[in-house]
Amino acid sequence: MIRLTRNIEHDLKTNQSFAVIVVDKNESQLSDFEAVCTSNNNETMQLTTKYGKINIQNIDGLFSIGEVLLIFSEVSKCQRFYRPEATINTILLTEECDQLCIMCSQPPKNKRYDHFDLYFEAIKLLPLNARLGISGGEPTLLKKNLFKFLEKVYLHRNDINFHILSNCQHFEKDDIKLLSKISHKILWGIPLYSHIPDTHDSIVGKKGSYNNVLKNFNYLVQSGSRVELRTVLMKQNYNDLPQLADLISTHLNWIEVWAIMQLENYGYAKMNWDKIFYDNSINFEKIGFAINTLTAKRLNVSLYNFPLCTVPDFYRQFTTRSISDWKQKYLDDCNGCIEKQYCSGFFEWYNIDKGFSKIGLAT
Amino acid sequence: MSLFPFQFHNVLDKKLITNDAGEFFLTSEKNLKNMIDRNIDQNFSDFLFDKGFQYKEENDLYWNNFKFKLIKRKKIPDKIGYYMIIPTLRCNLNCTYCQVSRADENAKNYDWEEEHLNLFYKLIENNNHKHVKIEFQGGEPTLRSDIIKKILDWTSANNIKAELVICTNLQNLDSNLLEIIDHDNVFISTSIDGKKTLHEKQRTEDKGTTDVFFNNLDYVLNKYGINKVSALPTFTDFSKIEETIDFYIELGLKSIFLRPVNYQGFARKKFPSSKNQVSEWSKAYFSSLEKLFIKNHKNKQDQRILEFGFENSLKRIFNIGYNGYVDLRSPNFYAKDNIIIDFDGKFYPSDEARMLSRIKIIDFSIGNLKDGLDSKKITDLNWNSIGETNPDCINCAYQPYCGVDMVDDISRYNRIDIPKHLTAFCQSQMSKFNFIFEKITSMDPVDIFNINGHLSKNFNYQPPFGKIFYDTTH
Repeated sequence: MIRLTRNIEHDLKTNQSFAVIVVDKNESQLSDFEAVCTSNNNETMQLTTKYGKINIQNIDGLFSIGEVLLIFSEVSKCQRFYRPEATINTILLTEECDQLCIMCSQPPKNKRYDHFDLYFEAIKLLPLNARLGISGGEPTLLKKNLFKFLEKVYLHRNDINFHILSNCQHFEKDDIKLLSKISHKILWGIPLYSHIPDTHDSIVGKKGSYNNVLKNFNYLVQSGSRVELRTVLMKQNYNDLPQLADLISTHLNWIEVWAIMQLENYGYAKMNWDKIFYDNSINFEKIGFAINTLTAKRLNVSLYNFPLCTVPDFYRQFTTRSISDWKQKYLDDCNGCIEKQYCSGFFEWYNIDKGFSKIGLAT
Repeated sequence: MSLFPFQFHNVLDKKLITNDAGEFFLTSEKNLKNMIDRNIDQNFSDFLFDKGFQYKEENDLYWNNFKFKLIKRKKIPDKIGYYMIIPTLRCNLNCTYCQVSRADENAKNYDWEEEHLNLFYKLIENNNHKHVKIEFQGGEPTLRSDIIKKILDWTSANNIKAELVICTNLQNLDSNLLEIIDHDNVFISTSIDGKKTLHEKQRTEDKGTTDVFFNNLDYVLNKYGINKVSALPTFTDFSKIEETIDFYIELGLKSIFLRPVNYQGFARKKFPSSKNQVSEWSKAYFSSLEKLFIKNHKNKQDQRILEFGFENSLKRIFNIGYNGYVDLRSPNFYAKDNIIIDFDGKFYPSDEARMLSRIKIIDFSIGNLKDGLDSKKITDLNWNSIGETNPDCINCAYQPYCGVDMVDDISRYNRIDIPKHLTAFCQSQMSKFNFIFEKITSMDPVDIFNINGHLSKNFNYQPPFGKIFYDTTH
């Protein structure tokens, strides 16, 4: 596991928060937004910036060249905003949410991190065609400012791609204009858990959520928005997958990909684990049916967070290495597996005693 | 609630209902009448809604998704990414039904010159496609392996992602050609009519030449594996189909395209019956397909084989946006995403069009490398390449899946305006779609198994569609 927010000790001559990119330069030549990262000893490393020096515990290795950091001087924190080697770097925008999903890995809190100006400064430092995630909580609860931010980024850096997770409850007809303008730069990750409205609503803990999603999809399709439809697999919706696949392949043909996702046992998912975990290593049948329906119609399906060995041979081609590197691990059992480099592996907090009953070397 | 426009067709004892977005279901005649009369009860309404036949109000999600499917089914890419080129018309064989006509191996003035090559590079650059497929046809293109090599080198030097397919009779596997084939992005397409005796009778003519072919085929298959090679048979004797399928399976090939000798080129004289043989061919074709289905069902995964024609028609039904095959799509606008370039630099919309021009039935050329595309002629052709507006096609339940093939009509009838249902193209497509929908309707596990196999290479018994019967005995 890699820690993305870190405590710092510093002698900075500013109270302002700022963004820096780690460079390989002589310290005297640094600009306001550059930093040099050196190791003091095995235990700490030092960042040198125009505003002064920062000391950080060296636990996950030195920051790499090109890494973008947010420095919050006042509260003595540093956030690893963009790591070049990461599969995706994500802004946690807010922990507030208007839904209460039974498998939420990040239960809502009244905390927001809407430092849009700082994020914009950081984005200016990103490499060409960089991809950024935005997640929550529910990012569109801050829709007005979020859209302003996205538009501003688009004006200054239209090479940047976003992957934004949203529950699709807050789009409105008036958003079509802006969405159309920026649609090709954003992939919206939107959850739909069942073709039955009540089942979806009870999973997300909000009455009317299903109808809202479908209503708002109409604004997304009209604006040419790109959607990654996400369905977390649970006991509650396993049986619905084939009919959900029918719904998608008839009425949501414009989505870019349907992601069927295994649980992340954290937050509410950990609490509700026994009630919700569906062990696909025992029976994959209906997931297979659902995939068949979409592939027959030439729609994309992806399996997220499914270790290869829990998936029947034929369907392994649909798995992706979806777990972010900072919270991903392999088990002792994985040593020697020839498929390891292609496998999503497990979440850092995966509990082997309560997990899949059949894991082992892929054959 | 309102219905999208729909069409219907008899399939066995049921009515097949389709709409322009390509959705379909089967029901009784009574329910069809109810649809026409808009006498739809709540149950039926819910079903129609689920199947994509209804919308609640204009511009709602269902309306917009219908529009999306419609656009996707009709859309043709607007950059050329697929080039079929004829670097030489010369050939070292003299096949009985040669479709393209050919020149003698030693003839002069039947080859591309340096100038053609340079203009060809310019054409590729101007189209600026991310991924280019170049198919080398002939004549026998390996007689000019120097041109193939130059194009291969040029694409890699210019960072153009290219897939090169050499359509060859494999008579001439010299070191130059072997060096080309060694590249991962180069593939071989060849003709295998069947076992040695049949292949020899129809193509190679003598034992020595036949042995060379099969030895070379073995060499390539052993060295590069099955994915390097695709093969096509041509049938003049329909009783040989099954034997040839078995031979393809034996060779380890994964796909076969069952097609009769085409009424083109030399075949016109030698096989005049090929002008109109739809019913005879269909009978042989469908019974062969059924036998192939049973074989696939019995065989292990690595011995299963797909039939390209069936796969192609199935994908037209199920895969929204499967519009890449020029013989089965509508609109079928010319020189949009693919083009044929002949040995003399002339452009043609399809290989068949090139053959027709070669034997002087019609001049189907649509420009040339030097002067570019003849856009006026292309526009004239395109107006007649739209099934959606053809009075004979607009009410056909299979129209969303079907295509238009003006070239085939001209080839057989010298004109494009005879009623569609009298054309070999229409009759052949009708019979293929009938066959598929009869299989879907009867839901025989062996058929469903093969439908899945052809759609996604995943042979299994789960129908790849939701509920498709409404209020029938099913």
